[in-house]
Amino acid sequence: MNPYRVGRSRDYVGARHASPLQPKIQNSKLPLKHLAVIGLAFLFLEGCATFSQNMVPVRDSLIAGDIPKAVADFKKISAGKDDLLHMLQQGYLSQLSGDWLDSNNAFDAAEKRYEELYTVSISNEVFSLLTSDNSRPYRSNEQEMALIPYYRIFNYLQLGKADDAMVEARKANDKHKVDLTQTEKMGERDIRFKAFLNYYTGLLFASRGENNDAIVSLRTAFKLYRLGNTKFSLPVPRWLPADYYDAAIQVGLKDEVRRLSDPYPEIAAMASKNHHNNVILFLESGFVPYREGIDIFLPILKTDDDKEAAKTYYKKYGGDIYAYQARPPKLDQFLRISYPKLTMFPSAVASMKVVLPNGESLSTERGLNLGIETDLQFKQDSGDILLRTFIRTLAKQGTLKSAQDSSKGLGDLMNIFNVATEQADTRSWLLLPERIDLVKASVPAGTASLTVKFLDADGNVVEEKQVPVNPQAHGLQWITVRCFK
Amino acid sequence: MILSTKSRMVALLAVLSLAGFWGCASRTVSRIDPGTQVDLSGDWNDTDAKLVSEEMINDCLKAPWLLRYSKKTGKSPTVIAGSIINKSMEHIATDVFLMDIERAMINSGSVEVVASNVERGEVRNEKADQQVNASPETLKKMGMEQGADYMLIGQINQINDAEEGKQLKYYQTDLTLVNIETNVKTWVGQKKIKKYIGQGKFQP
Repeated sequence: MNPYRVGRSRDYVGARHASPLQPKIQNSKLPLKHLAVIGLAFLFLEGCATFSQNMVPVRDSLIAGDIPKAVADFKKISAGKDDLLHMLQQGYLSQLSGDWLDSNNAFDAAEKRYEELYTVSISNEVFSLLTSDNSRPYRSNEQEMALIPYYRIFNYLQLGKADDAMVEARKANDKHKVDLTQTEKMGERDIRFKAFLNYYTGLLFASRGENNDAIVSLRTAFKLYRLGNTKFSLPVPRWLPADYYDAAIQVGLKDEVRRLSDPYPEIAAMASKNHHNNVILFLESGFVPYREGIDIFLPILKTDDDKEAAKTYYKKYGGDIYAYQARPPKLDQFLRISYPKLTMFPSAVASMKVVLPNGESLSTERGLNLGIETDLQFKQDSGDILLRTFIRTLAKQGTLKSAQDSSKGLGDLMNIFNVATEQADTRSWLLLPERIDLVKASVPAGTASLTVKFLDADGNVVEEKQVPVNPQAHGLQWITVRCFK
Repeated sequence: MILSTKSRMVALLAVLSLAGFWGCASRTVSRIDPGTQVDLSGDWNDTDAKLVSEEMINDCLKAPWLLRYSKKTGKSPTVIAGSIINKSMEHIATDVFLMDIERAMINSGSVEVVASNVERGEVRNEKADQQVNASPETLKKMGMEQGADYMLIGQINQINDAEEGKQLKYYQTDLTLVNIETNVKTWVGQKKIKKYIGQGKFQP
């Protein structure tokens, strides 16, 4: 590895899809002993694969469609200080394996750990300023934690525990409260996620006859989707107005029913048709964008900037500045600055279709675009990341100068330590899908399975799955399907 | 050996760096009295279940419905435990205090409790099995179950308020004893629990 590299660090988790930038500093003639600093630093680093790097084989197994191998690969990864991240991945993998109980236990533990980590350890923070953000326990972020109820609700429904699913729904709505009088102040990420969450929980409440809760969630979802539609063209799910209208009728809110039916005269017919929808599919595809490390390596040369030195040079070389520049540079230190950037993980899937037994083909709708959500979350976090990188660089310079002043050997050692420990924090919940689409369908009783087609941009089938169903005359069956391609 | 200020600083930073590696404490387990109040997360726990059951038991067994029933019929009332709907935002094992209430009712000697919906399914399976496999002397007859006079039902509701590391949790548990024949609510018990949970932003 070229030590003068500006480009992706070893945390690069998407090597199959991009080529690293490698501009080089030319004509640097540095003593071999200084190159040894970098060599030693990288030898030190070799044994320290990050959690994100360890997760790459797991993700590759999923792309290959081998969930048991992904689980087996995951079991080899130790949690350490990244226990929260480990729990999130564990919860998700267990759900993919159909182990709903284990999935819920892992997500439950993740939520508890997240709350514990609200209290920041000062010693950890100090340590991270001398090493890297990776030395801090993984704390996750709002966007990742907000997805736990989505998965837990589904798990409880699979376990036949609808009451517990509703507990999760209430918990999620409470945690992500929406003040409908203050929606104009909401950010894009908030609007997108809370619109989806409220639609999701509203459907659950409505399907369980909890109409008071359903109307609150569906009203919120409707208003947020409409706001998102006005602000950034967020599509309103096709059946949402009908679901909202239905809930308003159930609760007896005549004014609200009228406010809905005046601009949408067809809503009553839609609601009537909606009563026949007995299956809802959540189709997940792709992978969320991941964080990859960007490294900047700078050799800092010794400068002779005092007046006496300048006089000496002037006497020796006169006005021949070229003679001065031709002198071999003296290396003071190597400076390594690492920070993360977000990289899209390409997905072959552009659209999805669900084929009913009678051959009717239903197009899906965007429920939640986690690609955009992750991007917005990263932008929100970027200021903090850059500030921390700046402070860390200053702190490391301070320790290096102190060490260099004590002795040269100690200075070199500190330089090795600083370069070796500088790593971008690329940790994230890598296995999440890039997007969640949804479709409601009226499936005839006795139907054993539905065909789900994941299509590329040209309409070619990327993956086709037969999804078992058990449609009932009343109620809504919840199904999730994931495509990793 | 006297160290310079800079050397001391380097040594201090080295110690702090090493301290970062020693972040993981070992797990310890010890037995404690089940009556001891221990609050960890602030979520509903065994102490809350105990507070609810104690309050409900005291209230239910001292309420006038029991005496009225005994005077009117000359026997103890029979109660069946129905369901307690969890409308809170936490996963609460409602069976914990429901069983406490059942136990207190039975032990008081003034109330009879019959098996719940779930429990009697298992008992009926056993009785059905006896019809085929048990000896005539030990065989228990079908259709001889004691019908309950009252059903205990209820729900738990919760209201939360939170702001930057501070949280307020309010739980309200309502239990109702309903006369199965007439639907008349004979007794209503209520227990309110309010908790304040504070969490510091920093620790050493």
